[in-house]
Amino acid sequence: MNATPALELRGLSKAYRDTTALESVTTTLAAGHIYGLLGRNGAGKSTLMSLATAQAFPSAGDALVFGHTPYEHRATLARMCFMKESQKYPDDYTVKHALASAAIAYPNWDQAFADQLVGELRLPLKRRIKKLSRGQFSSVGIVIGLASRADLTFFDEPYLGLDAVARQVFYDHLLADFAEHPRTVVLSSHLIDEIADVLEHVLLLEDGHLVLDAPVEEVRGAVTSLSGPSQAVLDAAAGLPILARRDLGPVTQLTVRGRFDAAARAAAEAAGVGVAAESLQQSIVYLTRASEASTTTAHTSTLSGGTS
Amino acid sequence: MTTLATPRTSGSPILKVARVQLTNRQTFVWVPLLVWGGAFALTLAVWAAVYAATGPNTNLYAGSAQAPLWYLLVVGSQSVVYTFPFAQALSFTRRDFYLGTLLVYGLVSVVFGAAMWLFGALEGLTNGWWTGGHYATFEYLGEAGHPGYFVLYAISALMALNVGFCMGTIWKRGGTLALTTTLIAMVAVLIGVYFLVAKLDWWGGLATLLAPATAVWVISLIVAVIAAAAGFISWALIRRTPA
Repeated sequence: MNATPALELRGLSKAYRDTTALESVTTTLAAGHIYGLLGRNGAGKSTLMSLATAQAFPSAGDALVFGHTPYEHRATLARMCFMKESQKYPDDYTVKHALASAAIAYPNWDQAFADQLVGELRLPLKRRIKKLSRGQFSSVGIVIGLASRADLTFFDEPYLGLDAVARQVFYDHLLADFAEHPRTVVLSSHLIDEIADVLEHVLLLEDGHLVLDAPVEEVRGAVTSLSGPSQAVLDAAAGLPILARRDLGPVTQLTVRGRFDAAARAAAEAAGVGVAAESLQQSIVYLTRASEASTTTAHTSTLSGGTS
Repeated sequence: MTTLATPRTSGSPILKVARVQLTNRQTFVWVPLLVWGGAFALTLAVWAAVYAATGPNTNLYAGSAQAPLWYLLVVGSQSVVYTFPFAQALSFTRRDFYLGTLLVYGLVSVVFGAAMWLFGALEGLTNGWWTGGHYATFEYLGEAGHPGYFVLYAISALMALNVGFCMGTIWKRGGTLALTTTLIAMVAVLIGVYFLVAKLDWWGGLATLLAPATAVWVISLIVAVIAAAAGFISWALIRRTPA
């Protein structure tokens, strides 16, 4: 394995005339994993990816790709693929032209794989790119992103406009090809649950700040919802930080930070308390709200506080 | 994991950029041919009509040889506005993109220059396409078949492409405001030059420079300077232009 991180961001910032798109983001992405770059529209996801690939220039800080500044560095650039969600293509390009160009450019391009993806995603090869539907447009980026087999591949909102079948095709091929050709993948999305199943690590941006940087298993199940008779619920939650509380007469629903192992769950259930781990999306929502409430200066929250 | 040690690229990235630029043959081959051929055919049709109406005429002139140049100006700006972001997505360096694009521009210019020179030679052989017309050659620039025509037309095509590229880069970097300001500044400079020539009464010197023996070379040189300036400005700007 290569110990050099796939991507290292050091105080990466981008300010435009009147807005700050990215504010001193520092993090390290180890090689060989699938990362989720999450956040609402305008949170800074595209800016981060543009800076990391030297398609745009930071106001401060830097980004290292496999230990190198990618700007004008052929060998480093050749290891990356980043098709923007709103990627521009040469005027009058057809899908076929775009794929032919990608085949020329990417050193690891797999034409057979690209052809297979085109078939399964039902991409019309001869249609002009500007005439494609939103889903088909996303599919072009997916085919290029997957078939380029770049060591560091960014997918920018890959699910945008995709139908259920196409999503499944992307999901299946991403995982299968990732297993066969390990690489570092960054999936950006504003819909967390859409891509939750493939992620190993989440990076959450809010207003240009990196507010969460943690492995998925630490986040998933880090928030638990308890419901049942008020006293039993409060007993079960003993000592855990409470993130939300709702009372409905004698019944209480409590959202707590912490995870319940089998024994704790059995004990709680014996007392009539329903125990449910929150989804990744819900966990992230609760955790970031909690971190906002408790700290307004320190932006990166590390996850701990599990119990057993 | 793959390692960087093994060279995985085959072929020069500059040539790869050139191949990407030529992936869609429409841009640099078919549409220019259509504009060129179309403009020429229309010119001949007009001359034929004039010939039919007035009989032999030795004073028919057309400016339609510049039609492809206007198209190339647009192609040049599209290289930046559309192809540059795509080339960045394909992970080419800015330098390789610039040089690869320039290589294609050079190729297109040489082909255009050679073809126009050939047209000029044919024009001489056919006495102006049997109508006394002047499409590719003009008395004050030189005889049909003069090598200066090749240089002038080739360098003009390169200028059109480079100026288009430069305008595209300025637009991409600074928006419509920057481009408009630049265009106004360029016109102001031209007026200034005209003012100087008029004020200092350089018309005599200008006439000597543009005498039939040297005109084609002098004009080529001026066009080459503009092409080179546009090329340098483009390179300086695109190095720091976000995709």
